[in-house]
Amino acid sequence: MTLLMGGVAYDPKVLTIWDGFRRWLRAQGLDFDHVLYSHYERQVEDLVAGHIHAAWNSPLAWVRSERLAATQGRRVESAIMRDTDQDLTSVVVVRGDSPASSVADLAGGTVAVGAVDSPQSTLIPLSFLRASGVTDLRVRRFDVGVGLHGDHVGGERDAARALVAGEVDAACMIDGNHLLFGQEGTLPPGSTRLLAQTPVYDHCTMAIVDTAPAAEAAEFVRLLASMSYADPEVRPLLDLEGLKQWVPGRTSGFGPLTRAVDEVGFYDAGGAVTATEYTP
Amino acid sequence: MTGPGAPLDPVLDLGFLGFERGAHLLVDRALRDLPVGGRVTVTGGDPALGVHLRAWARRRGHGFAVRSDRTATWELVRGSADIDRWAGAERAGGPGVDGIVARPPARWGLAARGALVEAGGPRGRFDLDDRDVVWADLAPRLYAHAAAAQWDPATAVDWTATPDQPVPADVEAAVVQVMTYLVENEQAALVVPAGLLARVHPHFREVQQLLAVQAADEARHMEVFTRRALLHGADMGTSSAGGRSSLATLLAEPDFSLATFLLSVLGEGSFLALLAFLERHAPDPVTARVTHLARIDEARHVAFGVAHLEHQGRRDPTLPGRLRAAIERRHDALVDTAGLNADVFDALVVLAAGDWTPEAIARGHDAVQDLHHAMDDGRRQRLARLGFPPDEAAELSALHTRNFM
Repeated sequence: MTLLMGGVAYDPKVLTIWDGFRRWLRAQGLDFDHVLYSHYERQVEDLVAGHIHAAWNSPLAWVRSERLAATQGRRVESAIMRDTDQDLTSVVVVRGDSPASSVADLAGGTVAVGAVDSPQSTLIPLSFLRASGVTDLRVRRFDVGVGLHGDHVGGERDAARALVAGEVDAACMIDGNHLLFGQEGTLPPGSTRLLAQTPVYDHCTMAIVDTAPAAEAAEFVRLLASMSYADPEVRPLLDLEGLKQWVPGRTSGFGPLTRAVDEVGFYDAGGAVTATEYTP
Repeated sequence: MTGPGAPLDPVLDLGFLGFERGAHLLVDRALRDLPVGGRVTVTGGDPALGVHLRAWARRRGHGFAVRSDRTATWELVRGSADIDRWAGAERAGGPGVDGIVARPPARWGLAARGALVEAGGPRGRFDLDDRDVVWADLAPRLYAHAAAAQWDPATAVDWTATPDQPVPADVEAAVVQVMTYLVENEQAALVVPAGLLARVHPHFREVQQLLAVQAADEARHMEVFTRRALLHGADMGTSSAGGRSSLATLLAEPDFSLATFLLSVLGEGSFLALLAFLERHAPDPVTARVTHLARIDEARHVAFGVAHLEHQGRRDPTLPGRLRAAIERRHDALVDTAGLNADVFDALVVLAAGDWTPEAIARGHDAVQDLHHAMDDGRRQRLARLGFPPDEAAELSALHTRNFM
């Protein structure tokens, strides 16, 4: 039976990546195919409905998959992740000349975030700020690629630009993008300062639904785990997908995002989309 | 194995250097010489260091941990990604001529000869990848000579130089016709090496360089011949269908050695005599100069062609038979075409005559006959160098296109 995996085409490279993986997996003897979605919500619904067997999920899509599956008497497994999906952090950045010395000093100010559905630059850092006691905060959202769950870097970059331009008092972004924006010049060296860093959290995971053909699903995970960065055939694909190796999936790193989802009512307990101003 | 926080871990103090200003270079260097799993402790005063170190290490496949026992101190565990990346790498031969391999693989692609080539990546589409097919030992020396001998059309020719006597209008028209013919032929002489150049495996870089300079030579020739044609008028001469048919057969030859043979050895070889003829009978200093400069370049092209075929002939006993077949094939393809543009032939006679008296025309006609003999002699000598016995060389030379190139 063909093992069918869903992925979200947040960038043209996604087709290159999964076509390459497809070719490689089929060469290893696995009957594998993929379908690409334009946003995560339909992918999650199709996974739980059994239209696809596996879904390369954003962390937000994972949270919804788990809830939606439970509602419908199904189960999803966080089967395998990239090594770069574990122990990420987000940061709250201010301009170098900002008077703020702690997040509490942001009270009454404006913070720039990414898209409404971005775990790393909107949901998790805003939850973190709330937990830090900052409640009187205006949020300026940069809704780029809504439905892509923050995979599109545009919203975060726009937030960083707004900070440099003096339009906001702080901006939120994932640690790796803070490094990227510094190196590419979006954040000129010395122009900004880190105000805070969130606790660690996990990012994407391969969700597999319990209606998937068991042997094929197990073989799929086994083959992904066997991909070696030393293999010149798969290395370019691993580079494009941003990992050095696949590691066993886990669910222990989705706590911060789950809290954030509940705080703002992004999904309800049954996995229905309840977020306002969210139209993927 | 050294455990986390053990006193033996090396410590890298970055001072106030951050990742926005190159800190990764020092971190990378500290990790490079460690075994996989080895640890290095990093400290520094840049406020973003911990955030950036975590993100950088994750992307590079290194482990990362915060040292809770010290402030602004982190620990990295060396990963294997960089070692894995280069595990299957190989040297693309050696950088010098002695490092050339017989059949460079397509996977080396555009890599510099002698470079350490990471496995994977696109395969080059260079079908001329056999040393015996493309190489000539003379190529590096000829390239160096060619590079040193490049001239600037703007300054190498005195475009204002005037003849001792005014050039009659019909002699000027003959010059324009010959120049028009030369430009057409030079265009073919540019397209052929340029086409071959794009097919030669870059491992044979000296051959590529030589072909590139050869194409650049022809580009200059096209310029100076066009400029001479239009020096005193606005119109070019004629282009005959037969002449273009002859050149089209040159462009159609896909085999490197045969294309080199037809173009450089026979065609440009014949042109050496033609350009010498034109320089000798030029009615003005500009015509004499541009044909002189072109002939020096063409001599180099002929030398490479002959050297290449001599090199190949030593390795391939079937070469003479293939060369012969190429000449015969081209002759058969052109047997029903007119060959040399009649306007060009007449123009050559007029140039050599220099006057319209019957005696002068007869002299000019004889000179053009001598030119034919000189071309034939040159071709036969070069064919003899390639191993053809005299009678066969004479026979094959006679089959060469009447269009000269």
